[in-house]
Formats: sequence, structure tokens, C-alpha cells
Amino acid sequence: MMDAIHVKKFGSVITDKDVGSEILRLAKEQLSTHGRVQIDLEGVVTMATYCAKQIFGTLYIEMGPENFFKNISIANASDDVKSLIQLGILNALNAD
Amino acid sequence: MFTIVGKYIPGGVIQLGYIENINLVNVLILYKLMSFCGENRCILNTEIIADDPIIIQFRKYGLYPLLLSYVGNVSQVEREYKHLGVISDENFLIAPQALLRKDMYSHETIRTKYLPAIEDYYQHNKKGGLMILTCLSEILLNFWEHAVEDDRTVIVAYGTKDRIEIACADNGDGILTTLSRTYPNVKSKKDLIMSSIKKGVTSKKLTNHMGYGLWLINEITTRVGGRLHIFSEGGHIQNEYGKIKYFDSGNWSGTIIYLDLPLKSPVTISDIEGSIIKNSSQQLQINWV
Repeated sequence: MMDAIHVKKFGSVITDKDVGSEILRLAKEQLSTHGRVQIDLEGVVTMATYCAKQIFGTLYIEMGPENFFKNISIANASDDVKSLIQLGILNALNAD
Repeated sequence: MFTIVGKYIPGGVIQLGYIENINLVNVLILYKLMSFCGENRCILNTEIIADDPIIIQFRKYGLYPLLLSYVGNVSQVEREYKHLGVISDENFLIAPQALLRKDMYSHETIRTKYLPAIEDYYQHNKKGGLMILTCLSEILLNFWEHAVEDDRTVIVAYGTKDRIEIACADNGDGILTTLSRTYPNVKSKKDLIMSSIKKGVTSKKLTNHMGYGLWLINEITTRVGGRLHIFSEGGHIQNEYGKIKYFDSGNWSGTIIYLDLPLKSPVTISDIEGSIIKNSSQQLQINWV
């Protein structure tokens, strides 16, 4: 059974690249085991742009848009966190 | 001070006795100068002369124990760092915090105590709190990245219900040093330092750095009519109520960021970038639930 990753357990503000790295690792672990993962952002107020790209930009690039959509669900993200995630992905896509 | 590293010049006196009033950022600069002097063997048997006005200000911002530890017993410094704590009541918030890069204590304290305390204090103005936390998260991540060693940086936030001041000073790699490695063709100090507040400019291309940190902070400052000052390696960017200027300044080995934001009409990333994302030609496939 797929477990959601509750990001809030790392804090309401994600501002540490080691934390970002751990969330990415957990997501990949879930994908590897279950093929799907839910990343639950309830209670997460904001995150550094670096972490948004580190987690979501990396997954989007590595999986491709279709698999990212099909296999990753992002739950309970606030408007600001949604903006950050989208910026992180766009930046990763447009990287030199 | 930065030119006498390791020289142990005898008989130095840091004279603070003439200071009648001092603000948050200058308290932090003085503290950093004294700590730099002590840790880098600049002056032998440093004597610090300070009268009540400056001691009162150091107490106000929670840095007095650290000041004392440099005057009296340097071995206490580490212990005193860990005594820094957030003080808040109904009317104000003072949040000094040590940033020791290799120390898990710093990371944990920021994650579990420091940022939540700020979030709690601004419960009455959640969007204002979010704006503050957005700026802090970029400042903190920048700090962790550019500090070259544990150079005993302290970040201080002083907030009321209506506004917040944040000051952070480090002696890590400054803006000029880091950007000149990435943009070797930009020769002008002014152009290099001013580029740090442009969107997408980063000293770490091909990484997860987006070059959004200082740009975002500057954009927020402009939109809310706040004040941002960035000092680094002889350059000074000033954003006062949306008017941005550059000045040459005295050399600071590292970077100082000072931010003063009114909280009456806060803005956040979705206000700034929301329409750009919506209108982007790249339609992202994201499964929001």
C-alpha cells in the first residue's frame, strides 16, 4: 500500500537542502516500491525556491510530464506552495 | 579589521563608548566585527569599551551574552550561542539565532523552534507571516550555501505587529567573489553586485539554485514599500521604498543583508509570479489533489 509523504514532519518551512534531499529520496523510494507516491503538503507554509526545484523539478525532469502526472499526486498545497513548485519545475525545464 | 588577520596587533581597543544610539543592523555588524577580530587573531588582548546605551541595545536584541563571552571568556562563546532564543510577547518579537553551518543544532533549532515561533507570532496576519517566512527561507538557504566555514553568523529578527526587521551578516564568500567566478566577463564591481538582485542570476548554474533568492526579496521589498540593504565586498545595494541605488562602501568580507518590511499589505510569491505561471507557454502536468 502506498504511503503518503507528509512533508510537514520536516517543518512548516522547507529551507534546508538536506531536508529537500531527504524528501526527494523518500519520493523515489516510494516510486520504486509502489510505482506511485503522494506528497502531502498540508501544514507546509512555504519552501525555499532551491528546495522546490530540488524536489519537484528533479522528479519532473527524470520522470517526464506524463509519468509525473500519472504517478505523483501533490496534496494540500497552498497557492504559494503551488507557485513555488511550478516555478521550480519551469526553472528545471528551462535550465541551460 | 579584515586586513590584519593573524597579525595579533597588541593593545587594540574597540571603542564603543561614544555610541548614543544604534539600530539592529549595526548591532549585528559590531558583534560580527568583534567576533571576527577574536577568532582571527587580529588584535592581542582586545579591550572593548562600551557604555550603557550600546549595552542596552545588545540586550534588546538578545546578543549581550555573546558580547560578554568575547570580552571575558572566548570558550563560553559556543555555549552562549546555544542560549540564544526567541523572545516574544504581545508587542514584539526578538529572534536572534546562530547559524553554525556544520552543526545540526542550528538546523534543528531553526526548523523546530525559530521559524515556528515567527509563524506563531504572526498568526493574526497569516499573509504577513508568510511573506516574512518566504524571505527568511531564501536568506537562510543562501547563508548555508555561501558560508565557507562555521564563521559564527547570527541572524536577528526584530518584529512588531506592524513591521519586521531582519539582519544577517556573514564572513563567508561575498557576492563579488561568487558571481565573478560565474560571470568572468562582467568586470565592473557595480554591475556584478547589482546583478545579484536580478531574476535568474546565480553563482551556481547547473544546480538547483534558481537565482531567485535576492531577486524575490528585492521584489517583495519594492512592492510593500520596505527597505533592503545589501553590503558585500565594497558594494552596497540600497532599496528604499522601491528606489534602488548602488553605492561604493567600506569593505565587508562577506555579506550583510538588512531587510525592513511593513506588514500592512503583504505580498507573496503567488502575487508576484502567479500570472507568469498561468500565462507560461509550458503547460505543466501536475496532479494536484
